[in-house]
Amino acid sequence: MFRSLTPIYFFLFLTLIVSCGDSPFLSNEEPSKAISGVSGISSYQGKLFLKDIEIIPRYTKKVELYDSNSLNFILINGSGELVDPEYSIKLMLWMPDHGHGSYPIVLTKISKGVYSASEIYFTMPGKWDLHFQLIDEGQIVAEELWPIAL
Amino acid sequence: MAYSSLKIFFLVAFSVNTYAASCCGGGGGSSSVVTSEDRAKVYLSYRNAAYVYDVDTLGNASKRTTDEEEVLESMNIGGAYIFDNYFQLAMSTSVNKVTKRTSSKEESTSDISDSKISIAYEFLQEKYYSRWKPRGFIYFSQLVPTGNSRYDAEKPLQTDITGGGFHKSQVGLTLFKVIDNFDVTVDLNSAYYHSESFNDVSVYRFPSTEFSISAGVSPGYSPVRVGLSYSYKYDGHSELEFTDGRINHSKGSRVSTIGLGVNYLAGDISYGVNYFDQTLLAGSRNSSLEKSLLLNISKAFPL
Repeated sequence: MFRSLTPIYFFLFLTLIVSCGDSPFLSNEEPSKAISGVSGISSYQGKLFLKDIEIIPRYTKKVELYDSNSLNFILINGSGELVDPEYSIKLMLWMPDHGHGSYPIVLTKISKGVYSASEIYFTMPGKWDLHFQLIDEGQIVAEELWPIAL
Repeated sequence: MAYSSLKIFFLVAFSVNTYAASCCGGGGGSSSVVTSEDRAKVYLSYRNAAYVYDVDTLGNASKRTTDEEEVLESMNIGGAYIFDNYFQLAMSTSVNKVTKRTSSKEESTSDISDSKISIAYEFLQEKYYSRWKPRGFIYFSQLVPTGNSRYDAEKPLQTDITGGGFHKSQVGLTLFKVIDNFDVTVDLNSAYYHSESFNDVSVYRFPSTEFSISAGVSPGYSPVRVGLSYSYKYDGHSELEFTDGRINHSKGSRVSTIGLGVNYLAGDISYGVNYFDQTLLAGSRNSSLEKSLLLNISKAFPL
């Protein structure tokens, strides 16, 4: 009886070993020490506009995968003055190739034309677009994309 | 020899699997057709998969670092019953645990994944000996989205994505042949995803197609089978329509998987250890690539 149960016990032991701790296949590649983030986070060189309002964003620190990232941005008009948009503003992360977003971004107004966005989670490596949107009664009236690759 | 040949059938039931990227519910693709001379089968399997590469739409691969760890563990249970010798019904469900980890943060979630019910018919029956004529099965599977989809994810790192989110109808064809102590299995299937509406978005996902081939040998007609498998899966793109007027399109994905497995048959119980690797072959597109280990135990109930 014990001989017939031995394979079962061995199999259960093997399952227990494999299921405890880290996966045996995880990479041992060390993360790059290159500085990324702040103004250099995106390869996008153009200016960002929502209607006739320019957006100038900056991440507050090096952007990390799986971490809560934050950025500050200001909105200025053609004369360089800080302005608030006519409509409500919303930020959203989107992964265009995979067709999914991320955790809802929290937006806080600091002062006229100065905003802070937090809880920006990049949930996997790859190409992301940060969407700046103007919303009027639940509908998007203007949108600008700021690409980023992790 | 006939006895060994029949038992070999039983060992190949789980030799082929294709798994999807974690962001999309990470599901398995095995048909679970029972090809042995048994009345019923129940099985339990455990899979541990680590996502180690990401491939973009152009095929450029980047290796994940120690700060980008993502592991999927899946416990699957199911069974199949054969009616009238040629019809069979199978059901399965699973529980997934997703873990994402950096050097300073970790998030982990366990929850039920999608469930599946399948019906198969042996249209190419082995009524006389033929060295070359295979046994053929056609099957229909219906996947029920009992798991949590990425459109319903609430956690910051989306580790609560345990299912695909779609009702999926799949039709397939399996050809199976044993020659002496060698066996070959070929499977081709296509899946249709029913349109679904989530909180603020309606999604239409284009069909997927999967092809796989597996070959194995039982050295010296022993109860041990060593097998090699290859599978290729193409997932169509998605169209998303949001309530705020936005329309988005995602890109399709392609993944090739190589598998190596060892199975041991002790009486009516089969034990298997399988290794799957999506990083060995080129040609994958727009997906996360994994390496995984699958342990499975099955018990057959004879006629």
